[in-house]
Amino acid sequence: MTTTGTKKEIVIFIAVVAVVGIAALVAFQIAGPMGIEERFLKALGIPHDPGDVPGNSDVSGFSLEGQPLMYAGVLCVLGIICIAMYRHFHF
Amino acid sequence: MAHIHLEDGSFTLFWVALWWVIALVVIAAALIWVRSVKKTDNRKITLAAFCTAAAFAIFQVSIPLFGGVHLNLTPLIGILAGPALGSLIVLIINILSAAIGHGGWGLVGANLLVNVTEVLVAYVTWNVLKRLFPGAFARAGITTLTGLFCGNLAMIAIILVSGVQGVTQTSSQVLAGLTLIAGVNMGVAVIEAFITGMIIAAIIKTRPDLLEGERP
Repeated sequence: MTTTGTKKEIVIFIAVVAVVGIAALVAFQIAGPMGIEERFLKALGIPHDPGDVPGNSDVSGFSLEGQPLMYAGVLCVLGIICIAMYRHFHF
Repeated sequence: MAHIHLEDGSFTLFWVALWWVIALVVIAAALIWVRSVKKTDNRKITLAAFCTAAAFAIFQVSIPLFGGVHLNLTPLIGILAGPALGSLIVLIINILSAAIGHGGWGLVGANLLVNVTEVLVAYVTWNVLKRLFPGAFARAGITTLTGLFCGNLAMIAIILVSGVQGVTQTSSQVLAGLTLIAGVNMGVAVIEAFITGMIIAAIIKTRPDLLEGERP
């Protein structure tokens, strides 16, 4: 094994990179410059509003966003589960 | 760098629960696999810990490219730690990321499946390409591109199957939008391919014992 590889390998890699890179640039030109979350919301057709959480109005959805106590609660439960599993399985 | 950047409440409770259940089955399989190994190599555990720390940190760094993106390092995790330990690594990363508001809690299950896809595909590709690409750099680079491409496919499939609440667009419109995201993501994958290639090449040059079956 060589660390860099043969000339042929590098050429194939560069060719793949070029194809993927061009496709990415085309996609970026169409999508336009924006943040990750914004890009997702635009793709799904949801208006970008920091106060608007998708699905909040639906009774079957739920939201933990912006609720530190809920986050802490979930994190505590996960921590307890991890400790219990660690003790049970003696990792 | 496929990761579903949606907030809690985007998926209905049914789909949140379903993706979580599937993710837990994957994690259970990974735990059984790890436990089946009589004596886990301490170097592998240390490597997994480093991968977790590095990937979590890089997950949070927004690169000012294509409007702001982040790297994943999931293919690197797949190559270095394998699919079993890799699944546990991405679980920790996703939970900690959700804890600081990077992706919703309810989406951890779905995001875990996306990242496990990347880890698994990278692991398989890395081993399959061994004969075709003896050089570490090109092999790791192509492995990374393949892993991240499949991760993007998994992301699109999960969102299309689940549907997002409050979305009025048709499935084909959503697919078109998500395809653009995947396209932009693959631009970042190119950068990640070079980084992973350089890291793997450096490891094989200096510490080949960290990679099973590899020699400088």
